[in-house]
Amino acid sequence: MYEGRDELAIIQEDIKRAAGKPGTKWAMLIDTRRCTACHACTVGCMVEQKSPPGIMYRPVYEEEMGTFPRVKRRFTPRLCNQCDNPPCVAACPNKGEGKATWKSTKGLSAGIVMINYEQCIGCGRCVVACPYKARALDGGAFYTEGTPSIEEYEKAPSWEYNRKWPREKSHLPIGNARKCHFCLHRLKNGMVPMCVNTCPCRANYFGDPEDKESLIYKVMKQNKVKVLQAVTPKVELKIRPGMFKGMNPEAISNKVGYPGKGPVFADSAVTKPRVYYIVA
Amino acid sequence: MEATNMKRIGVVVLVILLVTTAGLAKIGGGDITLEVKKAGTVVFSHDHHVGSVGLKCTECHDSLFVTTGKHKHATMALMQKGESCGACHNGKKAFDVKANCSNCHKK
Repeated sequence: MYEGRDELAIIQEDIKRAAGKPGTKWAMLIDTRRCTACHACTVGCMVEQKSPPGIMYRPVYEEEMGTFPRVKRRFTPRLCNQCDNPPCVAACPNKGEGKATWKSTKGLSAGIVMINYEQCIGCGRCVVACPYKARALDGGAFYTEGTPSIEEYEKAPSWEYNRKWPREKSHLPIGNARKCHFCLHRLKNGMVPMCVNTCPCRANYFGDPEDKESLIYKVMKQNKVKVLQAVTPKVELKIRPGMFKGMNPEAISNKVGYPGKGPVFADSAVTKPRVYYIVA
Repeated sequence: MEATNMKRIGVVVLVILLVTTAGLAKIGGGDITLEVKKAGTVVFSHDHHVGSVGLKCTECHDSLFVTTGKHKHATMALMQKGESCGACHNGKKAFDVKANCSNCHKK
């Protein structure tokens, strides 16, 4: 509750107001003190996106610190940070607005690092480049493969980036890089991103942090805010041609340590993330 | 008269549906048309190489065909040395580019 109202109601108003304004750039604030590691956000996102095996846009890292009796647990949901200085875009051989991947700076998608599945060649360079292990290649698997029938719910389309993507063998976005996109298709309809929506602890705030009327601006002002500098395990991999030849997406994810084990927080990061954290 | 019009509308709707739904589902980069003077146009089909043959993206796109700027000039001579299409079409992984011209070049 914030001043007697449910945060989600306020955030939805913030989104509707910000969506109409030019110059809006989306960001998210996560209060880890409120997170109980229920993983509703992880699951909610997978349901919204119909995420296939091997793809998880928003895992929740669970850490235990200290020794008995002074033990503490900390939970950190991790999504794509929609960096203002994205290393994934820098690594992409087909980067550019409307091409494989780019940082959107205008329109409803401003602030979001976008992927165009029709232009992504599935080379995997962005998967290595992301310090937060937020990107992975879609391996084309089905949960119900090998059972008497592939279930209808698995073939149902997702609506990422405001387009319809039914899931069929070999069809896009199979093979492509996939990651969180702040539920752009929901923002378009005045809806709150799924993870923010489904969190029972109201640990997430979303909106334009430059909008002084918004809840995210107010909460960020009232608290000390950190960002992710990286995510463990630290994997030193240099991008070079031939490194992933013939490798299937699952093997590539394993090689980079996707989706990560634990957070490394800092006051700022060279990637300039747009996901902020309140850390106990 | 009315029945024929209804039939016409029905056919038009069917064609529209077929075209739109077929266009939505795409495999990889779709069909890549390469205009080749004299020898004949080549159409590279992702549908065939990914859908039918079952190649993963990284089989080629790890180091081949990574940007359009880099693979603009692939000559038959280069292919026979194992560059571009010749990386697989060398007679071992797939049919040889040498002497199988009409497999790819369509007049």
